[in-house]
Amino acid sequence: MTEQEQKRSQTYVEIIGDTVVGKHLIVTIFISVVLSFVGFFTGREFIFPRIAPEEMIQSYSLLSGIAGSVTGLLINTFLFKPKRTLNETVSTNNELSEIYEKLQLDMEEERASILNDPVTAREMKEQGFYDMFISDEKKEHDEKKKK
Amino acid sequence: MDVLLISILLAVLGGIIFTAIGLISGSDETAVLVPATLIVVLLGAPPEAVFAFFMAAVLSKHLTHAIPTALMGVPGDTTATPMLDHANFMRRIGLPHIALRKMISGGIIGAFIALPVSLVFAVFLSRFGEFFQENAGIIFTLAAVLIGYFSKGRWASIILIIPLALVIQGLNLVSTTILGTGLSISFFLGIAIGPMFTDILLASSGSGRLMIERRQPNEYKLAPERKSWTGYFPNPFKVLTKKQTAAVGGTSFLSSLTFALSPVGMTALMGELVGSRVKGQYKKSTTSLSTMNGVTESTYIAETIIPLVAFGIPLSPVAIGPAQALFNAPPVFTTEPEMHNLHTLMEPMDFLLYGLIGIVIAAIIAYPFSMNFARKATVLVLKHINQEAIIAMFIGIVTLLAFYEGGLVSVTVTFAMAMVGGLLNRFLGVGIGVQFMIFYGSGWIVTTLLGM
Repeated sequence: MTEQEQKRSQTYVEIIGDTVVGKHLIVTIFISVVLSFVGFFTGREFIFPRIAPEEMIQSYSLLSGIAGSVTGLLINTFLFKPKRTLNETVSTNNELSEIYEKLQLDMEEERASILNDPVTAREMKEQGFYDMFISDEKKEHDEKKKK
Repeated sequence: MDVLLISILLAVLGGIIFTAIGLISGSDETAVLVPATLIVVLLGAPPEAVFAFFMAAVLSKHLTHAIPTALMGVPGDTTATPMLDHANFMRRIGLPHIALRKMISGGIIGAFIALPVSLVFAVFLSRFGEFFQENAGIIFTLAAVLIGYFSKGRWASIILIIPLALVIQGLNLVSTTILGTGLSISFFLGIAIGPMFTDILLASSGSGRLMIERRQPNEYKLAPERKSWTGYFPNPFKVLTKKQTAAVGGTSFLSSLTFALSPVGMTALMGELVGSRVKGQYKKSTTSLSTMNGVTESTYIAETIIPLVAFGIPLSPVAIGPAQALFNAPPVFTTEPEMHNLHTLMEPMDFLLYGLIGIVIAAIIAYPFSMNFARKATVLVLKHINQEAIIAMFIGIVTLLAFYEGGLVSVTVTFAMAMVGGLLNRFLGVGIGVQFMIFYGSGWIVTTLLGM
């Protein structure tokens, strides 16, 4: 298989809202857990017994363990590329409705709550994502109602 | 050197160091605050300066822990775990930077309310503390019913309160039998990683995998940012709506009185109570997040100040955890045989003055930093850090923290809790907040119903 074909046949799984490749995930978890514990045990057995008071060894070792996790994060970051694509525009109304549907939330109720609350509506307009929640049709509809 | 000058210097130092530490997700408060405070105490800093340092450290850490929570969906520390649900929602709709702004603005307001309020109550309202302490179990149980009713799960959440309480106490009994002590960190870590763990389980199961399989990588939308303030220093009251400010103010005030309850429990309780009364998910999430981060600040400050000023012995979850070096740091501070610590060395007015120095300095350092760079940081994370690495770090840190609490037993308990809690959350809509309440009420429920 060429690289292109591999890419095409690639499937992803969605874990807490973002796509990952299963095999990559197994590798990264392995690296992270191992390095965390390497950090922890190196601290507890070799470094801190020599320099820290006895009651603090455990706490300091936790810090060296966290240093291990952070190292793991760095290595994993260089190892794999993110699978997401970033689009720096406001979501469209339809896209947002889809997300709401996926999360089992009621888009209509959301719109009603925003339209009934001028403070939130103004906040959204100021920040530039009002249109993401309230569609154009809806606006025209409301304006007609006012007239 | 002048005490005031040393206090200011140490507060600046605490503010800078803990602004950075807050960015590291999962950094446990007790594990980082105790050694740092202890070092300051043992180096011979005057008690006033130790207090200013501690307050600056707590506030800055709790402001910046919102950054990993909002941007990556990884809790900044244990008190941030109840915020995950709402933070993840805001991330999904492309507005994580808005979530972050709301959180840290809530946090800073909460801190400034908590300091004077908790001081006043420390001086003459310690009786109420006893009432809450004695009735904590029933309060959390009622809260579980209330929050459950307003959650997506509704009746399922309420029906499952007793069975889930039994499961939690059962797990705790196993660990008590083996270790001789019960566990707590492991349970709320388990609840927190539940949804993530369920996704991983689904991915590893042939029949479950279909539910979460995708042909295309996800596209992330990130709304362009508009600064709603001029200059470097934003006004928190303008970032929050009036109603949100009122919610933060009210809950921070209330939580400043309840010094004996767990900060994680209070955070979940207050946030969900406020959120359940708001219609519309955007408003619900932003209001809950600002309230919750306000409460993490106020409970932390109140739980430090009330026992310190009123009793001098560590009588709250924070006092026996992150703040313990203020009570007991032999040979400098001792509680027994003779009490010689901040309680005996400082007057209430000193606590106010040096506490203010601490939180004002932390506010100047951490608040504008996180407000101004929120979106830039989001872009950096989304473009360069893969989700696998984030999940892996989360699992690594959780395993490590659980191991730290009670070895392999704790790790097993954490993942058992994650399995139960995650599946309930994912398939029945039993929210993380409800699960936290059930956890805190479970001892009372099981004892009362079954006479354990």
